Amino acid sequence: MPRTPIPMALAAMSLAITTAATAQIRASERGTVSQTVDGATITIDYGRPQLRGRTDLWGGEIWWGKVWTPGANWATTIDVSKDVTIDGHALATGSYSVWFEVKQDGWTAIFDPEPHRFHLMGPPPADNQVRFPIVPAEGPSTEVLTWSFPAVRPTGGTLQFAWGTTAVSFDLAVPASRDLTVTRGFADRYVGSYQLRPSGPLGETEGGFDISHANDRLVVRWEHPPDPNFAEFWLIHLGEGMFAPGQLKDGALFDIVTDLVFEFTPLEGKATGFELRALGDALWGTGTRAR
Amino acid sequence: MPPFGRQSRRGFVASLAGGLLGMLGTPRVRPTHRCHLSAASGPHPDPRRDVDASQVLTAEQLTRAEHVIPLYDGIRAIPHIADGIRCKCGCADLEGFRSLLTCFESNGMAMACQICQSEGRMVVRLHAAGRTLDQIRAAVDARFGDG
Repeated sequence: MPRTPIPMALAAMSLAITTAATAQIRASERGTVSQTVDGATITIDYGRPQLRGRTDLWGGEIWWGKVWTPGANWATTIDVSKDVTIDGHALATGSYSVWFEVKQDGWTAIFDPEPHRFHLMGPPPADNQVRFPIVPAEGPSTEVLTWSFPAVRPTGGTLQFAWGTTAVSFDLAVPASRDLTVTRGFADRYVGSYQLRPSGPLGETEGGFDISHANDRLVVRWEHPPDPNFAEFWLIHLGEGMFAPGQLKDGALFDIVTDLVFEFTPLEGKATGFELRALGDALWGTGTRAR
Repeated sequence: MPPFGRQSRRGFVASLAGGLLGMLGTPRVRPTHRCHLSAASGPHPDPRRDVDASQVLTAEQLTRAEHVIPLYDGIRAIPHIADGIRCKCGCADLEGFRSLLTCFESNGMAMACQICQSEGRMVVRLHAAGRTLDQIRAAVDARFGDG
Protein backbone atom coordinates (compact mmCIF):
# COMPACT_ATOMS: atom_id res chain seq x y z
CA MET A 1 0.00 0.00 0.00
CA PRO A 2 1.51 3.28 -0.96
CA ARG A 3 2.19 5.61 1.92
CA THR A 4 0.07 8.78 2.04
CA PRO A 5 2.27 11.85 2.15
CA ILE A 6 2.12 13.42 5.63
CA PRO A 7 0.78 16.83 4.49
CA MET A 8 -2.09 15.16 2.65
CA ALA A 9 -2.86 13.02 5.70
CA LEU A 10 -2.96 16.06 7.95
CA ALA A 11 -5.22 17.86 5.49
CA ALA A 12 -7.55 14.88 5.38
CA MET A 13 -7.66 14.73 9.18
CA SER A 14 -8.44 18.43 9.54
CA LEU A 15 -11.20 18.13 6.97
CA ALA A 16 -12.67 15.23 8.89
CA ILE A 17 -12.49 17.13 12.18
CA THR A 18 -14.05 20.22 10.60
CA THR A 19 -16.79 18.16 9.01
CA ALA A 20 -17.54 16.42 12.31
CA ALA A 21 -17.74 19.75 14.19
CA THR A 22 -20.21 21.34 11.77
CA ALA A 23 -22.46 18.33 11.16
CA GLN A 24 -23.07 16.75 14.54
CA ILE A 25 -25.81 14.35 15.45
CA ARG A 26 -26.77 15.15 19.03
CA ALA A 27 -28.51 12.85 21.49
CA SER A 28 -30.63 15.83 22.51
CA GLU A 29 -31.24 18.12 19.57
CA ARG A 30 -32.25 21.69 20.24
CA GLY A 31 -35.85 22.78 19.73
CA THR A 32 -37.85 25.98 19.97
CA VAL A 33 -41.55 26.67 20.40
CA SER A 34 -43.13 30.09 20.41
CA GLN A 35 -46.62 31.45 20.89
CA THR A 36 -47.98 34.96 20.53
CA VAL A 37 -51.09 35.99 22.42
CA ASP A 38 -52.50 39.49 22.00
CA GLY A 39 -49.09 40.86 21.09
CA ALA A 40 -47.12 39.10 23.83
CA THR A 41 -44.69 36.44 22.56
CA ILE A 42 -43.56 33.57 24.78
CA THR A 43 -40.65 31.47 23.48
CA ILE A 44 -39.20 28.26 24.92
CA ASP A 45 -35.76 27.16 23.73
CA TYR A 46 -34.66 23.76 24.96
CA GLY A 47 -32.72 20.56 24.41
CA ARG A 48 -34.88 17.56 23.57
CA PRO A 49 -33.68 14.35 25.18
CA GLN A 50 -35.36 11.07 24.31
CA LEU A 51 -36.35 8.22 26.62
CA ARG A 52 -34.53 5.55 24.60
CA GLY A 53 -35.97 2.86 26.87
CA ARG A 54 -35.41 4.64 30.18
CA THR A 55 -38.18 4.15 32.73
CA ASP A 56 -36.60 5.44 35.92
CA LEU A 57 -36.60 9.17 35.34
CA TRP A 58 -37.92 10.54 38.62
CA GLY A 59 -35.95 9.48 41.65
CA GLY A 60 -33.63 7.54 39.40
CA GLU A 61 -31.75 9.31 36.68
CA ILE A 62 -33.11 12.60 38.00
CA TRP A 63 -32.54 12.04 41.67
CA TRP A 64 -34.81 13.41 44.36
CA GLY A 65 -33.79 16.89 45.36
CA LYS A 66 -32.11 17.68 42.09
CA VAL A 67 -32.53 21.09 40.50
CA TRP A 68 -33.00 19.91 36.93
CA THR A 69 -33.55 21.83 33.75
CA PRO A 70 -36.51 20.40 31.82
CA GLY A 71 -34.43 19.91 28.72
CA ALA A 72 -30.82 19.03 28.11
CA ASN A 73 -27.32 20.48 27.84
CA TRP A 74 -27.76 24.27 28.01
CA ALA A 75 -30.66 25.10 30.27
CA THR A 76 -34.15 25.48 28.92
CA THR A 77 -34.98 29.15 28.56
CA ILE A 78 -38.22 31.09 28.44
CA ASP A 79 -38.37 34.51 26.86
CA VAL A 80 -41.40 36.74 27.39
CA SER A 81 -41.78 39.91 25.34
CA LYS A 82 -44.22 41.48 27.81
CA ASP A 83 -44.92 41.14 31.51
CA VAL A 84 -47.06 38.01 31.94
CA THR A 85 -48.20 35.80 34.77
CA ILE A 86 -47.49 32.11 34.96
CA ASP A 87 -49.69 30.14 37.33
CA GLY A 88 -50.61 33.52 38.78
CA HIS A 89 -47.00 34.55 39.44
CA ALA A 90 -45.62 37.65 37.79
CA LEU A 91 -42.91 37.06 35.21
CA ALA A 92 -41.44 40.33 33.99
CA THR A 93 -40.37 40.91 30.40
CA GLY A 94 -37.07 39.18 29.70
CA SER A 95 -35.32 35.82 29.46
CA TYR A 96 -34.99 33.20 32.15
CA SER A 97 -33.52 29.74 32.58
CA VAL A 98 -36.12 27.20 33.63
CA TRP A 99 -35.61 24.56 36.33
CA PHE A 100 -37.64 22.01 38.24
CA GLU A 101 -36.61 21.12 41.77
CA VAL A 102 -37.74 17.51 41.85
CA LYS A 103 -38.62 16.11 45.28
CA GLN A 104 -40.68 13.17 46.38
CA ASP A 105 -42.98 15.40 48.41
CA GLY A 106 -43.45 18.00 45.73
CA TRP A 107 -41.92 19.81 42.81
CA THR A 108 -40.98 23.46 42.46
CA ALA A 109 -40.71 25.46 39.24
CA ILE A 110 -37.83 27.95 39.18
CA PHE A 111 -37.40 30.80 36.68
CA ASP A 112 -33.91 32.23 37.14
CA PRO A 113 -33.01 35.60 35.57
CA GLU A 114 -29.71 34.23 34.25
CA PRO A 115 -30.73 32.44 31.05
CA HIS A 116 -27.32 31.12 30.06
CA ARG A 117 -26.65 28.22 32.42
CA PHE A 118 -25.45 24.71 31.69
CA HIS A 119 -27.60 21.84 32.93
CA LEU A 120 -25.03 20.95 35.60
CA MET A 121 -25.23 24.47 37.05
CA GLY A 122 -28.64 24.54 38.69
CA PRO A 123 -28.97 27.91 40.39
CA PRO A 124 -29.09 28.18 44.17
CA PRO A 125 -32.18 29.86 45.67
CA ALA A 126 -32.16 33.61 45.14
CA ASP A 127 -34.56 36.44 45.81
CA ASN A 128 -34.73 37.46 42.17
CA GLN A 129 -36.07 34.09 41.05
CA VAL A 130 -39.72 33.25 40.47
CA ARG A 131 -40.44 30.04 42.37
CA PHE A 132 -43.69 28.25 43.00
CA PRO A 133 -44.94 24.71 43.57
CA ILE A 134 -46.08 22.63 40.63
CA VAL A 135 -47.92 19.34 40.41
CA PRO A 136 -46.74 16.78 37.85
CA ALA A 137 -49.54 14.79 36.26
CA GLU A 138 -49.71 11.40 34.60
CA GLY A 139 -50.35 11.40 30.88
CA PRO A 140 -49.72 9.47 27.68
CA SER A 141 -46.08 8.60 27.13
CA THR A 142 -43.98 11.18 25.31
CA GLU A 143 -40.74 9.79 23.88
CA VAL A 144 -39.09 13.13 23.17
CA LEU A 145 -39.17 15.82 25.86
CA THR A 146 -41.63 18.39 24.56
CA TRP A 147 -42.71 21.90 25.45
CA SER A 148 -45.92 23.05 23.81
CA PHE A 149 -48.87 25.42 23.98
CA PRO A 150 -51.87 23.09 23.80
CA ALA A 151 -54.38 25.85 24.57
CA VAL A 152 -54.50 29.44 23.38
CA ARG A 153 -57.12 32.05 24.18
CA PRO A 154 -57.31 35.85 23.75
CA THR A 155 -56.07 36.42 27.33
CA GLY A 156 -53.40 33.73 27.61
CA GLY A 157 -53.06 30.00 27.28
CA THR A 158 -51.49 26.82 28.59
CA LEU A 159 -47.78 26.06 28.49
CA GLN A 160 -47.01 22.39 28.94
CA PHE A 161 -43.97 20.24 29.61
CA ALA A 162 -44.14 16.53 28.86
CA TRP A 163 -41.62 13.69 29.03
CA GLY A 164 -42.27 10.04 29.61
CA THR A 165 -45.65 9.77 31.26
CA THR A 166 -45.23 13.02 33.19
CA ALA A 167 -46.69 16.35 32.23
CA VAL A 168 -46.65 19.73 33.94
CA SER A 169 -49.05 22.43 32.77
CA PHE A 170 -48.73 26.13 33.42
CA ASP A 171 -51.49 28.70 33.03
CA LEU A 172 -50.28 31.77 31.18
CA ALA A 173 -52.02 35.12 31.33
CA VAL A 174 -51.05 38.13 29.23
CA PRO A 175 -52.11 41.74 29.69
CA ALA A 176 -54.77 43.03 27.33
CA SER A 177 -53.20 45.11 24.59
CA ARG A 178 -56.12 47.50 24.52
CA ASP A 179 -59.09 48.45 26.64
CA LEU A 180 -62.13 46.90 25.01
CA THR A 181 -64.61 48.77 27.19
CA VAL A 182 -66.34 52.03 26.34
CA THR A 183 -68.18 54.28 28.76
CA ARG A 184 -71.81 55.24 28.26
CA GLY A 185 -70.82 58.85 27.62
CA PHE A 186 -68.37 57.81 24.92
CA ALA A 187 -70.79 55.32 23.39
CA ASP A 188 -73.59 57.88 23.09
CA ARG A 189 -71.70 59.48 20.20
CA TYR A 190 -72.16 56.33 18.13
CA VAL A 191 -75.28 54.63 19.43
CA GLY A 192 -78.13 54.66 16.92
CA SER A 193 -79.35 53.21 13.66
CA TYR A 194 -77.36 53.46 10.48
CA GLN A 195 -77.86 52.71 6.83
CA LEU A 196 -74.94 51.41 4.81
CA ARG A 197 -74.48 52.14 1.11
CA PRO A 198 -71.86 49.86 -0.38
CA SER A 199 -69.29 50.92 -2.94
CA GLY A 200 -66.67 49.37 -5.15
CA PRO A 201 -66.89 45.58 -5.39
CA LEU A 202 -69.76 45.19 -2.94
CA GLY A 203 -72.65 45.81 -5.31
CA GLU A 204 -75.55 48.14 -4.69
CA THR A 205 -77.83 46.62 -2.05
CA GLU A 206 -78.04 48.72 1.09
CA GLY A 207 -78.32 47.38 4.61
CA GLY A 208 -79.23 48.71 8.04
CA PHE A 209 -77.85 48.00 11.48
CA ASP A 210 -78.08 49.27 15.03
CA ILE A 211 -75.26 50.22 17.34
CA SER A 212 -76.03 49.87 21.04
CA HIS A 213 -74.11 50.08 24.29
CA ALA A 214 -74.25 46.91 26.38
CA ASN A 215 -71.91 45.59 29.09
CA ASP A 216 -69.47 48.43 28.38
CA ARG A 217 -69.21 47.42 24.74
CA LEU A 218 -70.38 48.93 21.47
CA VAL A 219 -72.45 46.21 19.86
CA VAL A 220 -73.55 46.07 16.22
CA ARG A 221 -76.64 44.08 15.29
CA TRP A 222 -78.10 43.79 11.80
CA GLU A 223 -81.79 44.25 11.11
CA HIS A 224 -81.69 41.27 8.81
CA PRO A 225 -78.40 39.43 9.31
CA PRO A 226 -77.28 38.11 5.95
CA ASP A 227 -74.85 35.74 7.61
CA PRO A 228 -75.22 34.35 11.14
CA ASN A 229 -71.45 34.57 11.70
CA PHE A 230 -71.60 38.34 11.91
CA ALA A 231 -75.18 38.90 13.01
CA GLU A 232 -73.64 40.59 16.02
CA PHE A 233 -70.15 41.95 16.54
CA TRP A 234 -68.37 44.48 18.73
CA LEU A 235 -66.84 47.74 17.60
CA ILE A 236 -63.30 47.87 18.99
CA HIS A 237 -62.07 51.43 19.41
CA LEU A 238 -58.77 52.05 17.65
CA GLY A 239 -58.72 55.80 18.18
CA GLU A 240 -59.66 58.93 16.26
CA GLY A 241 -63.21 57.78 15.52
CA MET A 242 -61.97 54.47 14.08
CA PHE A 243 -63.29 51.07 15.06
CA ALA A 244 -62.44 47.54 13.96
CA PRO A 245 -65.00 44.72 14.05
CA GLY A 246 -64.54 42.28 16.89
CA GLN A 247 -65.73 38.83 15.91
CA LEU A 248 -67.63 36.87 18.54
CA LYS A 249 -68.20 33.25 19.29
CA ASP A 250 -70.76 32.39 21.98
CA GLY A 251 -70.63 35.99 23.08
CA ALA A 252 -66.86 36.01 23.59
CA LEU A 253 -64.38 37.95 21.49
CA PHE A 254 -61.91 35.82 19.55
CA ASP A 255 -60.66 38.05 16.73
CA ILE A 256 -60.24 41.75 16.04
CA VAL A 257 -60.47 42.20 12.29
CA THR A 258 -58.19 45.15 11.61
CA ASP A 259 -58.41 44.59 7.86
CA LEU A 260 -61.74 46.47 8.05
CA VAL A 261 -62.17 49.80 9.79
CA PHE A 262 -65.23 51.94 10.44
CA GLU A 263 -64.21 55.61 10.33
CA PHE A 264 -66.93 57.69 11.96
CA THR A 265 -67.36 61.42 11.33
CA PRO A 266 -67.21 64.00 12.66
CA LEU A 267 -64.47 63.54 15.26
CA GLU A 268 -66.34 65.66 17.80
CA GLY A 269 -69.97 65.42 18.81
CA LYS A 270 -72.50 62.87 17.64
CA ALA A 271 -71.44 60.71 14.70
CA THR A 272 -73.48 61.38 11.61
CA GLY A 273 -71.99 58.66 9.48
CA PHE A 274 -69.00 56.57 8.67
CA GLU A 275 -66.81 55.18 5.92
CA LEU A 276 -65.98 51.49 5.82
CA ARG A 277 -62.36 51.16 4.77
CA ALA A 278 -60.48 47.98 3.86
CA LEU A 279 -56.93 47.08 2.93
CA GLY A 280 -55.30 49.63 0.69
CA ASP A 281 -57.59 52.23 2.25
CA ALA A 282 -60.23 51.06 -0.24
CA LEU A 283 -63.73 52.40 0.37
CA TRP A 284 -66.16 49.51 0.80
CA GLY A 285 -69.14 51.49 1.96
CA THR A 286 -70.54 54.70 3.34
CA GLY A 287 -72.94 54.81 6.25
CA THR A 288 -75.32 57.51 7.40
CA ARG A 289 -77.17 57.79 10.67
CA ALA A 290 -80.87 57.02 10.26
CA ARG A 291 -81.79 57.97 13.84
CA MET B 1 -59.81 23.58 10.11
CA PRO B 2 -60.40 27.24 10.94
CA PRO B 3 -61.35 27.95 14.56
CA PHE B 4 -65.02 27.37 15.35
CA GLY B 5 -65.34 25.25 12.26
CA ARG B 6 -66.90 27.60 9.77
CA GLN B 7 -64.90 30.65 8.95
CA SER B 8 -61.30 31.75 9.02
CA ARG B 9 -60.46 35.33 9.86
CA ARG B 10 -60.05 36.12 6.19
CA GLY B 11 -63.36 34.47 5.46
CA PHE B 12 -65.03 36.66 8.10
CA VAL B 13 -63.60 39.80 6.49
CA ALA B 14 -64.91 38.81 3.12
CA SER B 15 -68.28 37.63 4.36
CA LEU B 16 -68.74 40.68 6.59
CA ALA B 17 -68.44 43.02 3.65
CA GLY B 18 -70.34 40.86 1.21
CA GLY B 19 -72.95 39.95 3.77
CA LEU B 20 -73.46 43.58 4.73
CA LEU B 21 -75.60 43.76 1.68
CA GLY B 22 -77.25 40.39 1.97
CA MET B 23 -76.21 39.63 -1.56
CA LEU B 24 -75.02 36.23 -2.46
CA GLY B 25 -72.37 36.04 -5.08
CA THR B 26 -71.04 39.52 -4.40
CA PRO B 27 -67.47 39.67 -5.62
CA ARG B 28 -65.14 39.39 -2.65
CA VAL B 29 -61.95 41.36 -2.65
CA ARG B 30 -59.08 39.35 -1.26
CA PRO B 31 -56.26 41.20 0.49
CA THR B 32 -53.32 41.52 -1.84
CA HIS B 33 -49.64 41.31 -1.01
CA ARG B 34 -48.61 42.70 2.34
CA CYS B 35 -45.13 43.34 3.59
CA HIS B 36 -44.13 40.74 6.10
CA LEU B 37 -42.05 43.15 8.12
CA SER B 38 -43.64 43.64 11.50
CA ALA B 39 -44.64 47.19 12.35
CA ALA B 40 -41.79 48.82 14.19
CA SER B 41 -42.25 51.10 17.14
CA GLY B 42 -41.03 54.67 17.21
CA PRO B 43 -42.14 58.27 16.96
CA HIS B 44 -43.15 60.05 13.81
CA PRO B 45 -40.19 62.00 12.37
CA ASP B 46 -40.20 65.75 12.07
CA PRO B 47 -40.50 66.78 8.43
CA ARG B 48 -37.25 68.12 7.07
CA ARG B 49 -37.34 71.85 6.52
CA ASP B 50 -36.05 71.65 2.95
CA VAL B 51 -37.84 68.46 1.95
CA ASP B 52 -39.25 68.21 -1.54
CA ALA B 53 -40.69 65.55 -3.82
CA SER B 54 -37.82 65.44 -6.26
CA GLN B 55 -36.97 61.83 -5.36
CA VAL B 56 -40.53 60.49 -5.56
CA LEU B 57 -40.81 58.03 -8.42
CA THR B 58 -42.43 59.36 -11.56
CA ALA B 59 -44.99 57.72 -13.81
CA GLU B 60 -42.22 56.83 -16.23
CA GLN B 61 -40.49 54.91 -13.45
CA LEU B 62 -43.67 53.09 -12.44
CA THR B 63 -44.36 51.21 -15.65
CA ARG B 64 -44.40 47.93 -13.70
CA ALA B 65 -46.89 49.30 -11.18
CA GLU B 66 -49.15 51.65 -13.08
CA HIS B 67 -52.00 51.15 -10.59
CA VAL B 68 -50.07 53.14 -7.95
CA ILE B 69 -49.29 56.16 -10.15
CA PRO B 70 -52.22 58.18 -8.70
CA LEU B 71 -51.01 57.40 -5.19
CA TYR B 72 -47.47 58.46 -6.01
CA ASP B 73 -48.89 61.69 -7.50
CA GLY B 74 -50.79 62.26 -4.27
CA ILE B 75 -47.67 61.81 -2.15
CA ARG B 76 -45.70 63.98 -4.55
CA ALA B 77 -48.05 66.86 -3.77
CA ILE B 78 -47.52 66.65 0.02
CA PRO B 79 -43.86 65.86 0.74
CA HIS B 80 -43.92 68.07 3.85
CA ILE B 81 -46.69 65.88 5.28
CA ALA B 82 -45.42 62.48 4.16
CA ASP B 83 -41.97 63.28 5.55
CA GLY B 84 -43.55 63.74 8.98
CA ILE B 85 -45.19 60.30 9.08
CA ARG B 86 -43.52 57.09 10.22
CA CYS B 87 -44.18 54.17 7.90
CA LYS B 88 -45.78 51.31 9.84
CA CYS B 89 -44.57 48.45 7.66
CA GLY B 90 -41.31 48.22 9.58
CA CYS B 91 -39.07 49.72 6.94
CA ALA B 92 -38.34 52.70 9.20
CA ASP B 93 -35.78 50.53 10.97
CA LEU B 94 -33.94 49.91 7.71
CA GLU B 95 -31.04 52.11 6.68
CA GLY B 96 -32.08 54.76 4.21
CA PHE B 97 -35.76 54.79 5.23
CA ARG B 98 -36.68 57.90 7.17
CA SER B 99 -40.39 58.48 6.69
CA LEU B 100 -43.41 57.51 4.61
CA LEU B 101 -42.03 59.83 1.94
CA THR B 102 -38.89 57.73 1.51
CA CYS B 103 -41.06 54.67 0.81
CA PHE B 104 -42.19 56.42 -2.37
CA GLU B 105 -38.70 57.41 -3.47
CA SER B 106 -36.09 55.57 -5.47
CA ASN B 107 -36.00 52.43 -3.32
CA GLY B 108 -39.36 51.37 -4.71
CA MET B 109 -40.70 50.08 -1.37
CA ALA B 110 -44.23 51.41 -1.91
CA MET B 111 -44.53 49.85 -5.37
CA ALA B 112 -45.36 46.50 -3.80
CA CYS B 113 -45.87 47.04 -0.06
CA GLN B 114 -49.57 47.00 0.81
CA ILE B 115 -48.97 48.76 4.11
CA CYS B 116 -47.02 51.62 2.51
CA GLN B 117 -49.81 51.98 -0.04
CA SER B 118 -52.63 51.79 2.52
CA GLU B 119 -50.94 54.31 4.77
CA GLY B 120 -50.10 56.56 1.84
CA ARG B 121 -53.67 56.59 0.55
CA MET B 122 -54.98 57.35 4.00
CA VAL B 123 -52.53 60.22 4.48
CA VAL B 124 -53.38 61.73 1.09
CA ARG B 125 -57.10 61.38 1.80
CA LEU B 126 -56.98 62.91 5.26
CA HIS B 127 -54.82 65.81 4.11
CA ALA B 128 -57.33 66.54 1.34
CA ALA B 129 -60.05 66.53 4.01
CA GLY B 130 -58.26 69.30 5.87
CA ARG B 131 -56.64 67.32 8.69
CA THR B 132 -53.49 68.70 10.28
CA LEU B 133 -50.24 66.75 10.46
CA ASP B 134 -50.84 65.91 14.11
CA GLN B 135 -54.36 64.70 13.34
CA ILE B 136 -53.09 62.59 10.46
CA ARG B 137 -50.37 61.09 12.69
CA ALA B 138 -52.99 60.17 15.29
CA ALA B 139 -55.19 58.58 12.65
CA VAL B 140 -52.26 56.59 11.26
CA ASP B 141 -51.39 55.39 14.77
CA ALA B 142 -55.00 54.36 15.36
CA ARG B 143 -55.32 52.56 12.03
CA PHE B 144 -51.92 50.90 11.84
CA GLY B 145 -50.85 50.73 15.48
CA ASP B 146 -48.68 53.01 17.55
CA GLY B 147 -46.47 50.35 19.08
